[in-house]
Amino acid sequence: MSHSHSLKIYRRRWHLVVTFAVIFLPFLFIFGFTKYAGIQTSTVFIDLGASLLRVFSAYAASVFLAMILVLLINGRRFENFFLPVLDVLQSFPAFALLPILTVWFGPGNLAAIFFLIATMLWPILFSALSSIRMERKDLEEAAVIFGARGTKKLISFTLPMALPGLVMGSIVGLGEGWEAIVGAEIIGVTPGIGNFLNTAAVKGEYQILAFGIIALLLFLFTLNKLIWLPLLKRSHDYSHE
Amino acid sequence: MTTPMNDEFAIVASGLDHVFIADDGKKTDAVKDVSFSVRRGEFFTILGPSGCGKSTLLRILAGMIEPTKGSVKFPAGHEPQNISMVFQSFALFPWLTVYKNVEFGLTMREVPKHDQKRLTEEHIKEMGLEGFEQSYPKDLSGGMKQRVGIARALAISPNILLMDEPFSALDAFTAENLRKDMLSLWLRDTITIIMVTHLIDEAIEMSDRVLIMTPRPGKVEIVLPVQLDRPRNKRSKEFFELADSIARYVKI
Repeated sequence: MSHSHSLKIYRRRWHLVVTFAVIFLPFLFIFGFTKYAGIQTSTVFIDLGASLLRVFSAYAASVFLAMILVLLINGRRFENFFLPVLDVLQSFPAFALLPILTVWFGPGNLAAIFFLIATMLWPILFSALSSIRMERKDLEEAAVIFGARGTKKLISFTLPMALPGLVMGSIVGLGEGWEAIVGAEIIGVTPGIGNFLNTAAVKGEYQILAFGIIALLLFLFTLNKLIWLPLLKRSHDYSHE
Repeated sequence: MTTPMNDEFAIVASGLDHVFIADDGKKTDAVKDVSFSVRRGEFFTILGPSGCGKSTLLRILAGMIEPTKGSVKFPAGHEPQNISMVFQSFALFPWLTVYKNVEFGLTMREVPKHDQKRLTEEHIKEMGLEGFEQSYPKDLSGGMKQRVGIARALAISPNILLMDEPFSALDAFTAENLRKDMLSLWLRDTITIIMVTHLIDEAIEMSDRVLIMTPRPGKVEIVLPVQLDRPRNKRSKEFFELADSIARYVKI
């Protein structure tokens, strides 16, 4: 019941209308400008698709890792020892890992994905942790007195508590992830939208460069509008009694 | 002080101490040498000013806090299957609907599905929450939220119901209404209620006996019976006299 309810945010009519309009916008735009500039439409889609694939696989892995860490750390005695350690790791610049990852995995998808995890994990992890550590001790007391223990507590209390933070962290994390992947692709990971932009800049094709940037913007705007904003609003509603 | 264990009692607390250690290492006696027993079916109230350790005491009874010393016992053969609790802050799960909140304890206890449905619907109806089953807590008034809190607590058919200042967060009218509803529920079902409050009138209106706690350290000042006929007239001479004598025992 609660599941069908949570899907409703995507089912409202205005949302559907906007969805179709907005989904077509970036595609239409890319199609239009590639025809206009006389380049192959498929290359742009391949570049964009490659970037998207990397960001989303790394995102899925980061969420998985973050949740495991949250469950391991939260409420344990070593929490106060662990958090400062994670804080230091967080401030380590992920770009510093890129050369060694490229040596290990080659300049391909695997290196890019590990590099992205090192970037995206932290906002997701810290955001989820902070929403669990929120000062609502009474909710935990209620969960326990009504019988939520062990795995049951995990599923019916800890996860829903972490959800608003997870959504918030996902938005920040994906933002940082896109920044990082475009950077990595400019440096040398191919193919990818960053690579596409860099090539255009190097060749002096400024029109294509500008179009590429607009296409990327439209694309990210679409993702935000369609997936994250409704989810953010809903999770905010759910986290307030 | 030792209390004989027999069928008469629902819960016997003896020699309870709880030392609270703050982050800076400073120790406070939140609860100090507290002993009392509550009869089965009794409405027992723990009364005291804020910070006297009464909420800590309630959590020790609930098994949520381990006492530094002493024990909480239930007579053999009468161990409660269920201890339930109503919270001052309602403590409803914001991600669950009213229905799912009331059902929560039954789901956790893996009660058979059709009993879950029956008990949930029964308690929703009993607390006057029909039509709000699919609402979320944030859309309810304070009084309605506490009705959900009480329905959730009663749905698991508790032998002992703990109430932590259940009416303190509500306006006077709503609180009065809910107190009356609570009393008629208690009179109908034989359930042992232990309530924590800082309101003398509330304690007299509802309880069979009142335990008065003194802060720093949290100790038992006295346990007084309330021998007024029910329903109690809050404007009667006896009510005021009892309120006065209780007030003399309450130290801040």
